Amino acid sequence: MNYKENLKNALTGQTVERKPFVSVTQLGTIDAMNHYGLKWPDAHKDANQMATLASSLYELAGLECARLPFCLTVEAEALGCDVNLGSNERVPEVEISPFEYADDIEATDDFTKRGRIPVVLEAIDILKEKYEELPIIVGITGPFTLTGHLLGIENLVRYMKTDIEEVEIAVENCVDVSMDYIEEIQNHGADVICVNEPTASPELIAPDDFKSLIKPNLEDLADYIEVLKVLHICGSTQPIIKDMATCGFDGISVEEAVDIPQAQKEIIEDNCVILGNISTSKTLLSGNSDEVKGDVKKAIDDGIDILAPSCGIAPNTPLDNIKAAISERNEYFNL
Amino acid sequence: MSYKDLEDKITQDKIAIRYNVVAEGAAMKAEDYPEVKEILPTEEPFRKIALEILYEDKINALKDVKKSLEEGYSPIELINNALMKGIDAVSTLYTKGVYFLPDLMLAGDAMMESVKECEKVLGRKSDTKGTVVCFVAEGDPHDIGKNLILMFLRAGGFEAIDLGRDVAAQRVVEAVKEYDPLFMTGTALMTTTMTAFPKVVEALKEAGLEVPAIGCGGGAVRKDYVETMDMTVYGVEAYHTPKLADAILTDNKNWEDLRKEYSDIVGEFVSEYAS
Repeated sequence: MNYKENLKNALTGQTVERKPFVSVTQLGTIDAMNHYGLKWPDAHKDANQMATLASSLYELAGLECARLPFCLTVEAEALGCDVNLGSNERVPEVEISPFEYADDIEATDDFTKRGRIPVVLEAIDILKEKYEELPIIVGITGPFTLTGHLLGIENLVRYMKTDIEEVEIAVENCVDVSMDYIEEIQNHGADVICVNEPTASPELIAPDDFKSLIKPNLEDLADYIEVLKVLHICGSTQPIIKDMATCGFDGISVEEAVDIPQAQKEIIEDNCVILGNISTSKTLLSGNSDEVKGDVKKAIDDGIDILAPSCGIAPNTPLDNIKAAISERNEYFNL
Repeated sequence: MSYKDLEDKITQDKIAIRYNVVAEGAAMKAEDYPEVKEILPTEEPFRKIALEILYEDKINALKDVKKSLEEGYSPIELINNALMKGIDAVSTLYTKGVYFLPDLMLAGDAMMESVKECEKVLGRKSDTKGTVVCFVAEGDPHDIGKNLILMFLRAGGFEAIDLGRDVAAQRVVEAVKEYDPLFMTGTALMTTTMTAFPKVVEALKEAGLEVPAIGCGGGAVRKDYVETMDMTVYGVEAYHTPKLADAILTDNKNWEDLRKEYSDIVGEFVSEYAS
């Protein structure tokens, strides 16, 4: 089976014999790390470990992709933020940002050689060398989320009402920063770029603001990405589904709070497929294998185009639940 | 990348979509929603101040609160009849989907600053109904949710103890010993950090401590997950917190009651609790 072809066909809206099962979001788990003798934060910093963990769920459970990195702090760190890389139990987080104003945000010429960007790029090379038919999915931080890292999320939310111009400038500058990174990711041969934009969720930002401020920037970004592209936004994204689907991405990734049949109806005219929405908390993390299977079956019946966890996989997620999820997909398609 | 390089790479064919203006219906003023009308005071200066909170106008709210205090209005009356009414109206519009998080935060800023002004005159913190302890799960630095909870609890007349973010289970145990709270809230944004909640429950049990309920909520947190633990109740919205605390305080409800009667207690339809 050529998983790369199958994913490409599914993302471009062609009929596929089996719906791909991938993760466009974080997929490092403790079970997999134990299996390979890896641990965080090392696997965030070492290209070999990153590559091994990125493909671990393919090797151990049959997930049909490699996905890296395992955090949303790579860009912020390369821009000069202090990042706490955490441990096995905690994911990396931005601690201190040197930026106070939107105008300060600018990538240095050597931006893509800083922080862990070279690690991510090298890990892509390693995966590329090792797997011919396995799609490599690289997650990047969306411009609005990156703005939140750089200016502080609470400031950003307040600015949305008090100083929208500051936000506009900051987000545009973050788009410029992302473009340099995207170019390198593409040069290294990634198959899919997933733009993670959790901060743009309607739980934080009014849907009208998404449309007027964030969407134009995501359009620019989507336009710039030459490989397959997916937009992931967490939370209840029902009110912005139509806008998400018309940013120019091949697919949008949503979580279980979204009603899939309703969403498919809304975007029927758009060239965009829906990925998701196997609950990472309710079933994958804390459910048993029957509950996981039920979730997978429901997602397929609801008309999901590509199966994927609804959000970043929790590190404590049992490997058996991921296996159960994929075996349910296999049974469904008589594989 | 220079602009010249960039320009060559960006195609212009989406410009037309971007600047399309979507026709919107006539805007309704926040104060004209019937639910808001019911809440807002009619008497001045309370009405004016409540409206300033509703319109997230910190500068004028502070100005008018100071002026009213100078004119001899009681700080308690200003808190209860103006500031709290204003924030009640804000949460009502949030429930309706008219207001969003930025509105909650800015109105919250205006209210909290104004309350401080009143408390200066009062010479002490205003009397509280009881103590609630609030923390963000260990490993999680996202505290917008917790800060909103603090704001709503204080607006609801509770003493809200802020343990901050990234709080270890042991610290929560110490806080329970120190404050003996009637209610506790734990928030987590991520699936990666909500696994700290069971550790808190375990640590409390080990220490032989009990709280009537721990409200768990936040981004990735789901009701089913929360209900795998004892002592907890899934909190859906930040502004539900004072209502849950009230139910514990006045009706002696415990976590099991809160789970069963959630919608009734918060006084609205909550889809997560609809069976």
